[in-house]
Amino acid sequence: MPEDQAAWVEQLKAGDEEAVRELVRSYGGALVRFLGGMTGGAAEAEDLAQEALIRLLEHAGEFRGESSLKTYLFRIAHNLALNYLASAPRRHEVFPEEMPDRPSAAPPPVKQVEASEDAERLRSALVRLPPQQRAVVILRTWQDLSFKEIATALSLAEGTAKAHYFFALKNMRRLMEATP
Amino acid sequence: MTCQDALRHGLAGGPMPAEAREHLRACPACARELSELRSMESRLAGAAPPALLPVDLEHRVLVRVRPRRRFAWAGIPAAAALLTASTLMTAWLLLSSAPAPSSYSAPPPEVSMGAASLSAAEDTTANLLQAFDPLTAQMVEVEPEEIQEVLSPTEQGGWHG
Repeated sequence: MPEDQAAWVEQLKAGDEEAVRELVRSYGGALVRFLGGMTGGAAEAEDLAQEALIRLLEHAGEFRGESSLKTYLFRIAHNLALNYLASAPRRHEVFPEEMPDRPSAAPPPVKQVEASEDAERLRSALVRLPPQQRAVVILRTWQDLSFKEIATALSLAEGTAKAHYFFALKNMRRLMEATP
Repeated sequence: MTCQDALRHGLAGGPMPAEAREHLRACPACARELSELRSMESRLAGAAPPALLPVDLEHRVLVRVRPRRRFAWAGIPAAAALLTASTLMTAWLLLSSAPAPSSYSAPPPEVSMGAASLSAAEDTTANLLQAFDPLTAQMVEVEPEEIQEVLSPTEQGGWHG
């Protein structure tokens, strides 16, 4: 990821292909993960991530540098996710676990299976949270964003982002207790 | 400070206000609650799928972005060429449809065998038009109402007039 964000943004505005490639490589995976958690579907996550990157490139001229490129991108992705959730029927599809390094022949150790099952249950519960709470939790626990960055990305006050996080964790606990 | 405020401060990370710290120390229910919520927090962090970049995402983005940029630049000379061509065409049409000035002498009518050609210039004095008579191989003057007959071949293949 280029250190000089301002220069990078200028290259993106100019349509520099290498800068575009760098943008996709830097944030593509994180975007797909965030959108996977938001939508609960891998295919939707990829499509929306692609759309978010294209929107950023189309509107690069409007980027003032008041926030980081990352939070700006997550803001676009979050809006796309909300639009998608508003138009699509409610889904409970579990975001598929991608473990490319796991050998298919040998069975995984018991602890790994348990951890994997727990992760699956958590992700299933996550998609049942209200979208704002879901977004805050994912950005905090999966993307390691600060509450200030989350507030910028989601156009919220920082206190509101913290409140969403608190209620999201409480709701997650309740949902996990309700699921055997 | 309420229990909820203390828990929110406890989850926010970073230095906690002294009041919140004191509340959590004095309230065992809040301390237990915070511990459970922090446990949920770390379980969630552990449930994060790997942030894998889809293999074709770079290509998909570039394909969507490239043509528009190329088109935008390629469109400028194309639009300029189109504008020039349309300007020239309009000018030519205006010149060719404009009435001939009085000093301009109309060229002789073009003629060809088997077809009649009329002079575009109207004879204002006699209200007559000229047509080529294939029988006499001469230009003859005809009344305007005879034009249709002159222009149409007869069933026998000859010409009226």
